[in-house]
Amino acid sequence: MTIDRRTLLGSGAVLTGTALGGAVAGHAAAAAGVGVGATDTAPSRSSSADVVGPVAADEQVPGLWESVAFHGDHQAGVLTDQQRHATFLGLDLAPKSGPAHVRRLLGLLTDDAARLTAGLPPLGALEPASTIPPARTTITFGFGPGLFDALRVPAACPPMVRALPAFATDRLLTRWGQSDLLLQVCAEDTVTLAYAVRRLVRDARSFASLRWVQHGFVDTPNQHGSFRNLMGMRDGSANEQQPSARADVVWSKTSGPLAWLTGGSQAVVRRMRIDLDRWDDIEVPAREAAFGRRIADGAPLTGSTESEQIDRAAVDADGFTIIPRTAHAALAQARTGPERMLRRAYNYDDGPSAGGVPDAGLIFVSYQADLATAFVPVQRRLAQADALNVWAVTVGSAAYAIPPGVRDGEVVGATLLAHSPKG
Amino acid sequence: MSHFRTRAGLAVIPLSLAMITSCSSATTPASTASTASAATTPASLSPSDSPIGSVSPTGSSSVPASSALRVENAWVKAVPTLGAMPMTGVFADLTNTTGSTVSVVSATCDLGRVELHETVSVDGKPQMRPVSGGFVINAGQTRRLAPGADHVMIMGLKAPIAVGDSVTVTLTLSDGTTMPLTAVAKAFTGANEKYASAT
Repeated sequence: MTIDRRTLLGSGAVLTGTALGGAVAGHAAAAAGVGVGATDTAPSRSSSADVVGPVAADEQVPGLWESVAFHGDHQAGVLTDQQRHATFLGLDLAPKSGPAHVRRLLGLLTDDAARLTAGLPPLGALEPASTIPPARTTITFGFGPGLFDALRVPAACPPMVRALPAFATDRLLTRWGQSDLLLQVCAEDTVTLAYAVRRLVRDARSFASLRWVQHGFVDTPNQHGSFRNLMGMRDGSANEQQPSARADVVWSKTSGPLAWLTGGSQAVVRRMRIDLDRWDDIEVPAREAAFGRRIADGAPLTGSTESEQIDRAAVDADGFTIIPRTAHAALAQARTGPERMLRRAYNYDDGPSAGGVPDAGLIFVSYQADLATAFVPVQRRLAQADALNVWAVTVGSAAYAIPPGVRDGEVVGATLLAHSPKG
Repeated sequence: MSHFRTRAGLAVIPLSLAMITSCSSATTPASTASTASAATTPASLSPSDSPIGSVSPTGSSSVPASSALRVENAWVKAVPTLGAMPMTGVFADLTNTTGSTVSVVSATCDLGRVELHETVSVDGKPQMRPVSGGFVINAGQTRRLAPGADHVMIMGLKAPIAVGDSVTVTLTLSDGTTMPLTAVAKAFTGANEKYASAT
């Protein structure tokens, strides 16, 4: 096969980030399977005029030269196809912060985020645009109770964000606990991610300190959109697949003091440490019984494909339910529409310790229109009976209101800031 | 477009009047209040509106369309505490939207004394000095003011500039008109440039 520029660039190499204001949602690159010598069966959107910088090796990373639109009705990074790397920043405002400080902080971070996600250096950065590929970066903002208080609009904080209930299996450490502000930064490339985090923190540190930094990673999601967690199981299998259903699950429709949140969402970020040494010594049938799904393909034990619904009532020839009552997937399954959530978790691995003990697990992240009807009742069931509680313990928990999308020229959280005094 | 208010320290009111005449999106009603609080609280804790509305990567401009120069990506180095050399640099991309050459010949700012600087190499080291003739921008061209290159210097700062503050410099062009350049203050570590003349 002739190796020419068109072949090398493939069909996924769309450098939209530098087209001012123009960007493309990041579905195509992961599916396009770009690479040297890739057969270009999809319509090619690349031309040598569009693309700056990429060379053959770059195209091995799906989405490296793609960007995800920052502005829109909803924030990116929620329904966006999951990127392979994430850094979660939990920030606490400086003491005595008031509305003026929050406005300045959010103004700076909004501008940084809009530029970074477009593949542009932020204001004050000296390097040229082409040195950092956009890599489908998304920067998603979440507001914790302390931010509402600093803005002098405490009633605008959703009750479950203000006070998520405690669950019997929690072993929470405040070092991984609730913060005033969340930045979820995701990207397909680790260097791009490090750059984005560094630039955001550079501006944030005049206004806030970092309670925690959680680094996460996933392998490339499959066609179903799920990845493998460190227990070796497919994760996110039960997420709605239809775009309209996914939107229905996550976007809030609120009124009264919470009306500002319409088009936003509610999220939890919970750090779950997993005893992987013990898990590794559990035989496969027991692992699958604990999950309720097969390791190989994520299919429920009652089905044959990952996308099938779990049948909690299915029984075997002897009349016993096939999926144990304590299986994670069975307990987590939504009983009603409002119980549905969108799982968007990341693996973490911050070990091993000096003694060789793993420090790894899952940064559990879910998005839902209302924590009170989704995460909370589901987690209650899991805390009571989940088989996985033997190996996984929640050591950190934080809840956030996810503001609606940002319009060009506006600051993130504009609908909330409209109710806050100026200074 | 969101509002922005200057952090001009001691002399907010006159500058804000200039803002009204030169840029229709400026507002001033609460400036008096911010002057009062600026006198008693550290500058970084004084109220100020979000300065960000005018700068976005989509290229929206912070000046009326009729102006000869379009200002984009404007920023200023924050100076959170005034040290021995209270000065700062203001940077932006200035695009000449007319069909003939336009120069920025001088500038003023309530925060201090303004000079237009270029950076030259002296003995292999970068040095800044006032540029004679100002910044000359040919028709249709964009001149980038950046650290280590051309920029606007504010010397003898009268008040600190906190990260996120908004600073407005009034540029005087070769055609006699003036226009505002509003810059957001960004965190920046120490500069390496040496100054050709001590200030």
